[in-house]
Amino acid sequence: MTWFVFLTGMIGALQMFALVFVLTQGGPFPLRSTDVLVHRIYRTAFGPQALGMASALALMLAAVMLVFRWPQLKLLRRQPRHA
Amino acid sequence: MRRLLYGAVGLAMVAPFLYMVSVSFMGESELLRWPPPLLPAAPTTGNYTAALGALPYTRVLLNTAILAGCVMIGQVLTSAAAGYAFARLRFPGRDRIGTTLLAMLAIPAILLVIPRYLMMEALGWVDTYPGLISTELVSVWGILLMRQAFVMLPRDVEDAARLDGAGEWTMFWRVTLPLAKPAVAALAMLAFMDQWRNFLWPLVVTRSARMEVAEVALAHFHTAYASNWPYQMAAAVLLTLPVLVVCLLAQRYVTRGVRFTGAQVRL
Repeated sequence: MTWFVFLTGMIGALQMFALVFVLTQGGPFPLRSTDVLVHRIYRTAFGPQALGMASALALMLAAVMLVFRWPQLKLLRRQPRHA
Repeated sequence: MRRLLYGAVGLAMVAPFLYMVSVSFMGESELLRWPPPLLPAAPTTGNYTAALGALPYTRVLLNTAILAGCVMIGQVLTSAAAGYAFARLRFPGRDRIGTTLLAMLAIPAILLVIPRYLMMEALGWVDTYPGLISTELVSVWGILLMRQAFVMLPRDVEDAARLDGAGEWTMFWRVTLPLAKPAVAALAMLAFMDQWRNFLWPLVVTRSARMEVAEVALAHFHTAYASNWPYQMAAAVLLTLPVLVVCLLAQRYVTRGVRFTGAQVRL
């Protein structure tokens, strides 16, 4: 159960976007100290229209998410009623 | 002791909303003091009248309602039909397609946003309602939820209906679907609320002010009145209120539906 909550939280956190978009836009240019991946992808895709590079970044995010999603689904399957 | 703990956690969750309401009644300069006040010294409704004037409120509300309503109906229909097929019909490759669907849950939303945008651009649907709505009509999560709901129904009723000569469509529409009503209600509500706070996709696919939905309008409002928090909080309250009412009215159905499908957890 704890693991499930942890994994679900991680998956949600990896996809954070709105907070960064509204509050800091990733921070001032050279440092970008408050940027997150989804926000970076959004900016790459719809700022300079570098859609290919944005897609590549998004695929890499998908790979990272799979690391968390796989065990999560396994947990769900093992105990479908209490998961 | 346990009650106290639950109460504390609950309060921590509600506190930001309460503060939102409290700040929305403050004067502009009040928050500049240190420490910032918890309650307005002289409550004023000026922020609300000003926010209503600055925000195309009815238009935004209408856009959001159209998006959430259409997507809710669409997702219920597609999820129920596909869920029924996965739970009750036999067709080649069923289990493999089911596993593929499950795997699609691992795809982050942003990955699909780019091809979706390119499709909408090719169709000329950028900044229109069809562009806003069409790509949200199918939900993998909804299909899996409905499949789960149908799988857990007893087969006896269906067998009886089949003996009485019910075809597959009658089975689906008049026997199985009504039995799964709690799950349908839960799915409908969650789809509605999800779309009400949908931000990324509307941000990408709409451009003009007349197509703004609630979250996008709020984000723009924030940019326009960056330091005037009471003003922003009033706008936030105005756009949260409708969905809050819907949520409170429907909460009963959602909890029942979630229990009905065997504590399926939102992925």
